[in-house]
Amino acid sequence: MGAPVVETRGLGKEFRVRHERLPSVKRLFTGLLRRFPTERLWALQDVSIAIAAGEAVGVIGHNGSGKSTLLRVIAGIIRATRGELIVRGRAGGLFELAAGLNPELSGRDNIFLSGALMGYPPATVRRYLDAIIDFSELGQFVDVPVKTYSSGMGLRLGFAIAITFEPEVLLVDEVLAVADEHFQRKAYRALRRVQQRGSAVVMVSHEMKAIRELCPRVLWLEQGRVVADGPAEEVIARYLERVGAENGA
Amino acid sequence: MTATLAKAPSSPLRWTWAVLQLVRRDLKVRYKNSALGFFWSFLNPMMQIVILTIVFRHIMGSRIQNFSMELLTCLLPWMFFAQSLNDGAVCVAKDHLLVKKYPFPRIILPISSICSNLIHLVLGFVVLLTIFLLLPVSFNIYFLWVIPLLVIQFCLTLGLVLVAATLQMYYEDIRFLLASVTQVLFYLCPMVYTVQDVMESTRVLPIWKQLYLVANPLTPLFVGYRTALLHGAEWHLLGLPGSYYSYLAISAGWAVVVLAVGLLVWRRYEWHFPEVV
Repeated sequence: MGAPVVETRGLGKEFRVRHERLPSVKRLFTGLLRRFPTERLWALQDVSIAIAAGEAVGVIGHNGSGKSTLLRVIAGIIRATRGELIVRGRAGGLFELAAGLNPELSGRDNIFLSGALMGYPPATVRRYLDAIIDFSELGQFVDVPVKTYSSGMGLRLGFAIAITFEPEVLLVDEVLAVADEHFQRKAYRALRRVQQRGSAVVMVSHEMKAIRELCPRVLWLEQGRVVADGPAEEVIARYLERVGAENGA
Repeated sequence: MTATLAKAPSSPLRWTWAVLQLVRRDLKVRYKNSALGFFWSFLNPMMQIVILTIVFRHIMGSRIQNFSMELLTCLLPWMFFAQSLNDGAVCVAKDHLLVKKYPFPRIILPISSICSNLIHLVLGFVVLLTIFLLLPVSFNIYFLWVIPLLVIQFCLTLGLVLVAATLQMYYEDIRFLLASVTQVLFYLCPMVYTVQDVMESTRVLPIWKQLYLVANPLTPLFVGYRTALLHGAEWHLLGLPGSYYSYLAISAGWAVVVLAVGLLVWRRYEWHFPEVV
């Protein structure tokens, strides 16, 4: 299978969280040089994983456990504070509901803009255009401003853009939870198809059913650390057991 | 941390497409649903010219001949500067959703923001040349001076925008501060008066005159546009102590320094943007 497409060694990400945001003019008088009071928070600590081409990995854990941070670091959107990250190929994905679509532009213009921001020239975007429009099921709405779309339509377009370019590493951050049953099934089928063609899929979700269905391997994060990394059934069982214990069941 | 992208889509040139797409978006969004479109961005300088001409030429009795044309030739580049600075300061904040979604080099946001305004300037110059057809101004080779002047102005503006946009991420004040600063700066540049007026003034101390000539890199640019477009690059008529070229060189020097500082600041902070927006 060759070298893994995603490899991290001792990856750590520290956020500095600002506690208060003083009114600016007041701050001017209290001394510009004084730093904002910040709290350091390690969102990821010592994460060492390897993901092979064609693998599907589910990422689970409580809110704030570092799942989304891990995805964004792999995507290259935020830089890790320490450790090493190697991504062999293009990493791309869908992080928030329809986020990044411009409401004033038409769906078609948004496809070209998103493509360009992913680094694709117009010729490449044009080649994938029909597939994206087709997958998003927008029909003639593709030439209407995105602000008139329903949230489902925005989601479908966002997902179609993310998946159609078939990056070597596809990152999906629990966006599908809000899609209707029909589009969810279609999206999972598409994810599996992309994976079978050799892309790695990394998916964050709170829906164990979806994770079980798509990901043979599961990564469990807690407070930025990897608690478990192994076969889906095993890790999910341990995770649910822990959640049950925490709730005094 | 080291990150290796083994099979990334090739060549940094590919980001020029992203810049073009962002410029296209800016223009589409700005003129969407407006019947007169670009006309509006030319109406603004026209109104300013009318009022400034009435005040400074007819009421205050400025000795600049042909006041409105003199003003127009440097007002268009001025508006490019002022608008770029004010748009540029918020360019990352405005597009925080894109910054959080795609790992593109962040510098394409300020570059495309300035380029959108550059298009307005170019269209403005086209209108200006059309006006020239009605006047006894002959088209000549000196018009080409506009190109190096624009290059210097672009670098200067980009450097300032890089710093302003970075600061704006941490201090909301920057945007408001810049709005005031640009207003003051307008009168610190020779727009409604000439460099000669300053040099011949008996009330301005010599030290301020010196400072006026070397500390404001915009001054040589605006007198340059005016002279190249209206006076066939007759630099000696400017009333500058010394050759125009040395002042232009100082201006270019400023542009290089400001751009270098801007790039350093940008490089230091650009990857923190997704965390603070």
